[in-house]
Amino acid sequence: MDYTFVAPKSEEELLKEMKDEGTYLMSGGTDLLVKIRIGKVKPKKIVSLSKIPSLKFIKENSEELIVGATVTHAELLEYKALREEFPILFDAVYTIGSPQIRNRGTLAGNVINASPAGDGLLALYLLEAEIELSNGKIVGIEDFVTGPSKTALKKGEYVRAIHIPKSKWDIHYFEKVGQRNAMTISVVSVGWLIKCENDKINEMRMAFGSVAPTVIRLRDVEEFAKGKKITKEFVDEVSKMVKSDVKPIDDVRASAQYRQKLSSNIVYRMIEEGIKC
Amino acid sequence: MLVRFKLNGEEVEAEAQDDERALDFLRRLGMKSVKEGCGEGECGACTIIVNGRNVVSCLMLAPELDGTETWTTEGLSKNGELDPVQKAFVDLGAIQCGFCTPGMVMSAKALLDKNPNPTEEEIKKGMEGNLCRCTGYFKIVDAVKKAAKEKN
Ligand SMILES: Cc1cc2nc3c(=O)[nH]c(=O)nc-3n(C[C@H](O)[C@H](O)[C@H](O)COP(=O)(O)OP(=O)(O)OC[C@H]3O[C@@H](n4cnc5c(N)ncnc54)[C@H](O)[C@@H]3O)c2cc1C
Ligand code: FES
Ligand code: FES
Repeated sequence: MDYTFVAPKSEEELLKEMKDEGTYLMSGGTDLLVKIRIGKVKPKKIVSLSKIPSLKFIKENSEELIVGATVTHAELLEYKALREEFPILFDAVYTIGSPQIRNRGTLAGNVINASPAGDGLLALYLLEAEIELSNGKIVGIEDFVTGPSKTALKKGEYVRAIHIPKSKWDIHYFEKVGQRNAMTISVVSVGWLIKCENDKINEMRMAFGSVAPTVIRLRDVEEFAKGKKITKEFVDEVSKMVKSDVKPIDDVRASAQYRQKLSSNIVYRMIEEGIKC
Repeated sequence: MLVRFKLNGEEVEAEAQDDERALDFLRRLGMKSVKEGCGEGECGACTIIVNGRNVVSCLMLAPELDGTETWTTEGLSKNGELDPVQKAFVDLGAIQCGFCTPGMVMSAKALLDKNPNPTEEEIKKGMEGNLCRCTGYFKIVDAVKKAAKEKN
């Protein structure tokens, strides 16, 4: 046997079980089991979180939505208020993998996997989500993700929940570009949120996936957009900024140059789709 | 680890290795409809239904089946009668080599149990995790539509 398996029934038991060297936590296993198969990780012990009731919840208060660590993508999509109040998260999570993957994979797993292509992760960057750790600490999403497949989690810590602040946006947009079919990872992903005042942008957030070691927010674009109207000239300028901001790499799916071009072109969706304040 | 679960409607108790995939475990229990295509969650050939949801058994460990209600294609026909989904696949020729079929049937069943009247778009979305190298999908979508009609 390569590794042993346990499924503790409470967080106290979990803390004891995760002390051993070579222990990996598992939620849906859709990232972990693939990594084991290709030999990228070699656990001695897997601790499943699936039998711990206190990690499986969706709660809401006037300020935020709180998603427990073992809530699956499918369960989140079925949560009534998600589509209305967090449409950008709904749209992003809806594109993850397939029904089978969404039935097992979790939002927390997507965050902890810290892939630059993480779709749930991209929406959480835009919504400025916070990660609740087992020791009670709350860490902003951009501080939590420290690099590709790297997070601020320390030994003996786990993620308990994701906190998503409520905020109202007039425009939301999410797209995966260059995907051949549902199951291939996109070449580039993009999302933006816009608040309008009269016919101008009051606030904008923009994020890209697969163009840097982590998902990135384009703060220079966001700053530039304040007070602007969405015109062809505006998007020309944004497109130039995007081109210089993204730092993609070559991989099996696409060249860096192609990714850069796609990223700077994709913002023209604002014009093509007639997006206006 | 001893796994106790309900498999195709019957209580089953069987010893599984901790690191055994649900896929291998179920095949060992005689559920040969569960196929291994890619082994990485991408093709859907190993799709089963666990607690009402279709999942890929290649990315699930056997011990995780403990306490679940699990269905494979073996459990669908009753008293020698095919399930409407199976029947529609046969009637419309949505099967060529047949390798993808059990997984397709399980995804179609999970979809129709949740959404008895899916639109064409919903069928495509519901079946997007199941690949077929032979049929070109048109007949598969038609079969799901037909099964929905028969069931209603
Ligand atoms: C076929 C296929 C298609 C996919 N398509 C997409 C896609 O389109 N978009 C996308 O973004 N992703 C995709 N993925 C990746 C994956 O499904 C998602 O990232 C998913 O959200 C991971 O969640 P999980 O619960 O399965 O994670 P797991 O595999 O269970 O865990 C992921 C990592 O987090 C650790 N971990 C889990 N829970 C905790 C916790 N509470 N505290 C601390 N550590 C923890 C694990 O040890 C592991 O290292 C795909 C995967 C497959 C196999
Ligand atoms: S064998 Fe499981 S999805 Fe391909
Ligand atoms: S019938 Fe051959 S793979 Fe689908």
